[in-house]
Amino acid sequence: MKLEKVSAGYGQRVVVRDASIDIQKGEIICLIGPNGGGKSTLLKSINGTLGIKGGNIFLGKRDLSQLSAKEIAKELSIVTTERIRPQLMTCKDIVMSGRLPFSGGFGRYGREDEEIAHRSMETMKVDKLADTSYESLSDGQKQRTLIARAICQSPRVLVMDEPTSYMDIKHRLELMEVVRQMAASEVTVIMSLHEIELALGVADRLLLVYDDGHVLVKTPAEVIENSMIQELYGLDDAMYQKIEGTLTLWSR
Amino acid sequence: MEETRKIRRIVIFTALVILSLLAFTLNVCIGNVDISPAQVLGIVFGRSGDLASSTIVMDIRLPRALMAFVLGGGLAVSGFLLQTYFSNPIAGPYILGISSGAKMMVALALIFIVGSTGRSSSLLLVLAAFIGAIITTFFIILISRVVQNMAVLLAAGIMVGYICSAVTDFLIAFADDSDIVNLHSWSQGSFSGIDMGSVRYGFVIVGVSVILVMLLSKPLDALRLSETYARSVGINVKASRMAVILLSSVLSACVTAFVGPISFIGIAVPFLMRELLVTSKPIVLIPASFLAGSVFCLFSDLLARQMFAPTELNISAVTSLFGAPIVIYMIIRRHSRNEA
Repeated sequence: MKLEKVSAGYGQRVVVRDASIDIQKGEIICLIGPNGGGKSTLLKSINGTLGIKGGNIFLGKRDLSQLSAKEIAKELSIVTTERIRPQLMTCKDIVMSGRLPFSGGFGRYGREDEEIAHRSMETMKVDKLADTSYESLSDGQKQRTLIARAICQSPRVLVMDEPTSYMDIKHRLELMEVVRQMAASEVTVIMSLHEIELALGVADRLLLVYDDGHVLVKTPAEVIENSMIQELYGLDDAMYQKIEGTLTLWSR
Repeated sequence: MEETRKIRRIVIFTALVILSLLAFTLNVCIGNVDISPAQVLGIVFGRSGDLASSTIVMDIRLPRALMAFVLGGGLAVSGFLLQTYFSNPIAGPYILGISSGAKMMVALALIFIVGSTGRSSSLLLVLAAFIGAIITTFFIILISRVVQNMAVLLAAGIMVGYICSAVTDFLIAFADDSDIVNLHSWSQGSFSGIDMGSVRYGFVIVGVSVILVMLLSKPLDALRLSETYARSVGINVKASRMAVILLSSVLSACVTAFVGPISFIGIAVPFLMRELLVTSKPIVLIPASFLAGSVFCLFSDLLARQMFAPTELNISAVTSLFGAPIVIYMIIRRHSRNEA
């Protein structure tokens, strides 16, 4: 996946400017930055939901804007921050819907689809909830179900917006482990995270999205060495001193 | 779970098929004139029977029952589509004013085109109803873009329905042409006076539409999560949504053109099927809703013509009587489950 001078935004408003990054297969990229800075906007452009205002995005060798939804679906899957309210669907139904790009004309699934869905549920530890109705799951369980759905789509690129939302610390750490395993099996993971320490710990490179819309690409080590977090989030010296130790610890 | 779901499906579908056959048979056999089931059978298969009985069965009861079967099913599928589109289980062609919009256009067509040229055709009426349905639907979509609140959307739909009905009533009051002598009973919804010609049109239009709806079941399946997720699994969301609107309009227009607006089948039947089958999977729900809609409509029509025979009730009186309590139950259920 490759971004060339991408500008993203809504209507007339450009939120993110000149984002460029060449992402390798199996690389983990984390987007960090202040609220409202444009992390979600950039992710929506990367997953093809939102048209871009300038530049080019390539999925493999092909221009993303030239691909149909069907072609994108076979390469890339998403987890969004939007809350869904499906009626009468079980956890398994939700996860299975990740197989729709590969299903037959009427949306019927084969045995292989069932197996992949089951493995995805095991990965996200929701296999015991398979027959529970989605509506009655806790927020954290819902979030894990949606991530299992995205994994079930067998993507080459996984794009997640705030995947750790609603999850407790144990599940957050487990998710980071899942992300590492996926990357090891050559899945590219692009996600935004609020927890800087998790991002520093798991990411190969960080995409820093600043308030004014400019974007930098740095390794975790560079970010720590140059105290870039302080400027990114607009922290004063006292604030930064408080967290610096923790961040250094996590980035190792 | 998987197994119980499967068994449940088989049981319910078998029951629906048996019920629709039963309802159909009853509709053909029961009437003001006593004709024994054996005689009816003879007449339908082209044997025996005196001319009077034969006319009653072949020209009155059979077309009426066939029409109730196909239009009841079409109406339920139309409601199912609207519920998917607006992601609101209380949406339906009648409650959103779409039937009334179609009714108004049919009344206009009857008075101005049929009244002046003296010629009428089923196709003309369906076309007029379709135009009315489409205009009302897009109007409702426009409102739904401005206000996201589902209760407001329904209120708007009901108001639009009242306006269209009022205009229709004006038209009927001021038009004193003998061509539209039946307009009043039609505008209340009734299966009386259906002939085989209309039945043929009804079968073709509803049949083709329902097959197309079945072909849409994969996009409909994906849209259960959200538009964004549907897109992310490769669905052309815009095209699918347009197809959903066009098909639901064709279906409700077809019903309105032939028998006038019919209330509640569009809401109550898909809801009942969802609850009974414990699923919202379109490939299961579309045929189930169709059959259940047929059964509901056949029994309602039977009651409408037999309860106070020889006086006939309008069909919406019966469908409302049974449909409205189901919808009230549904609202309470949703509220107690704490869903907005």
